[in-house]
Amino acid sequence: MTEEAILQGCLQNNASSQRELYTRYSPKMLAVCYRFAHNREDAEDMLQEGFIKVFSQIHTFRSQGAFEGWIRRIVVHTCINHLKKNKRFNESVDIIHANSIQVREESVPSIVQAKQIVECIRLLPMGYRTVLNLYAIEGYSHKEIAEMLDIEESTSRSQYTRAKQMLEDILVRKRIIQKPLEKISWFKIAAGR
Amino acid sequence: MERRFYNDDFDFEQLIKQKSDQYKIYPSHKVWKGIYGSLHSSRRWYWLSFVLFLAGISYFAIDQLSAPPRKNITGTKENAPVGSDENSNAPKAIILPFTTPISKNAKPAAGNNYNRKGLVIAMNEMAAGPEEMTDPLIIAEDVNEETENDRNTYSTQGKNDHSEIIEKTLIPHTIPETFKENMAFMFIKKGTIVHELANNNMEAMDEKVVASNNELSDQKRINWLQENAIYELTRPKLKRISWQLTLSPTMNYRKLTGNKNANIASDAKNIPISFNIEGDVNNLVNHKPAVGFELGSMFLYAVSKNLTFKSGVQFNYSRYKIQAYSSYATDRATIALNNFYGTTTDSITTYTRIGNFGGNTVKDLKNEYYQLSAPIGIEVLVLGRGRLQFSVAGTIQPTYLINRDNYLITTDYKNYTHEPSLVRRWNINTGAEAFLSYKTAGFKFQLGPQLRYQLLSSYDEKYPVKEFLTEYGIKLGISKAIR
Repeated sequence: MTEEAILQGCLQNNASSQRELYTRYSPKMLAVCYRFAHNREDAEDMLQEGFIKVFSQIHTFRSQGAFEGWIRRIVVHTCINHLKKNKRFNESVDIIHANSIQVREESVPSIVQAKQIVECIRLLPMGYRTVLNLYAIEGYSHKEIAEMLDIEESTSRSQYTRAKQMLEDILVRKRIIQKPLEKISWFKIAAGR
Repeated sequence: MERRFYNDDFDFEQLIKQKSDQYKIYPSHKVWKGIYGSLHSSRRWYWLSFVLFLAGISYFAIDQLSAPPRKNITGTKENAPVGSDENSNAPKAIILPFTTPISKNAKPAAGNNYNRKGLVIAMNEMAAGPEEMTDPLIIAEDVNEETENDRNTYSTQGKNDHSEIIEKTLIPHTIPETFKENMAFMFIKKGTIVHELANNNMEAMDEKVVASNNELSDQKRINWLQENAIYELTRPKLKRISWQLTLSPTMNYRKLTGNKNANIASDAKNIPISFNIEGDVNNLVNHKPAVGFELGSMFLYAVSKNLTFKSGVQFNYSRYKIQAYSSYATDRATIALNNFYGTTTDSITTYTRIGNFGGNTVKDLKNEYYQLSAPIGIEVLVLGRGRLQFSVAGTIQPTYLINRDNYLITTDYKNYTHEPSLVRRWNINTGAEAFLSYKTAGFKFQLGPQLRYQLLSSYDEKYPVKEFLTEYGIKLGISKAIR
């Protein structure tokens, strides 16, 4: 079934077209939700809510952009709203908190797989993770992130910098990536303060 | 091996984006079930109602088809003499199913007007055999139709010479001779059963009755009378007051209109006028019907067989969906108010992030109404005298709105906002319904479509947009007579 046919079917509230659309995009979208969510169950709740919005708003889709991108935007906004509702997004992060993250060091470097990266992202505190997800992966600007999360633009920038550093360190500790010797550990700097 | 080194050639952000985008997780089946249930919930409700309706009809049909046919004894005997039917060979025994011994004191008091018609029926039935026995209730009803003339005719006969009366006026040819000579008959008057000896010879009758009873071979006859006649001869007292419980899944719609009142400034708009969007408000908003329900508890008073008054309390949950957009930035939401002198001077301004035409993200809103009503109305029986009946009903419902936190569209139709002060607390609704009812086991079940319409706008007169709620539903009710 072509994307156009699916779209037409969904516009007519056709259940089989809706199922087809869901089957096609739900695995990717659940991965998006999973990066934002606290756990798998929350991610599925977000996915469900997001797809309900997709189907009920499908008449507003204009064929100027990619359909997947449109769905993704709705799902991302659903995730943000979900986090706002549960107040998890507002978790503050400080250095002590970041240092307290338990990262198991891998003795043998493993193959970098998508799942490893995502699981490492999920190790980040919620505030860092949300900003990193929105900026680095979803491609929103700091200005847009600031509006979405009701924070200052500068806060978004600083959160992202810290999130990125922390993620790098986690990836290095887990030997997913290697860091040049001249690079000084962000954690060591933080600990030295 | 995909190990990447963190150096100038390596784009860390690109790595995590690339890997994150590759990642897929397959959701569990319950996610799709939840989505499907949410998208097609209204269809499910109507299917459920339809299945319930079909189940009710099927139950009635099976019940009616499996029940034995009821014979009209009087009609049968008029057209078919006892000796000519297929039961003519059946033994013509005297049936005395009652175990109370017959005594001389059991004679009726002098001056009693014997119920002739009931007597005829009883004797004819006994003569015709148990298969021709009619329903005792039919006898009781027929007895009441006796005319005054009949009573007078009968009362002119000798009070004690009952055999003569029977032979001359009541049972001229349908009773066998041997039966006539020693007849005991059942007499019905005001719910009491009296055994009367036809020829006044009580002692002889006692002996013959005992002898006859010994010859009874068909136990069914006795069973029939014991199970039906004895316990059902008393005419039940009509209970006029019933209590009813109803539940209706409803589909809720709303209609928006402009201002039609000439005394009020029509189509109050925001200033400056050029910013306003013109057109029928129904076409400028994106609203969708949603499922609600109605729960009611009523008292019914039967004025007559056809007319019933009803009153009680009722809870309604109505809602409809609004498709709007959420913005990151707030916008002014201005509601221009109607002025009763024909000019628009007042307005209410708030700030909102919810837009009607666009925004950063889509947002689903719901306007929900929790209402308490006190319906007063009538039910009229249209068809049916038996267990299955068809009725129509209408009510008028003074209504109190419990919540007032609904969304109002601004008068330029650009935004949605809350303004509880413009939501009407008291309203009036009307209800109409048609239903099939079925009586069984002391309960009356009813099922049928209903319509509820709100007579006054949901909003205050000052608000230029009028909203009228309409609910369509399937009402399921159960009622029980209590007094």
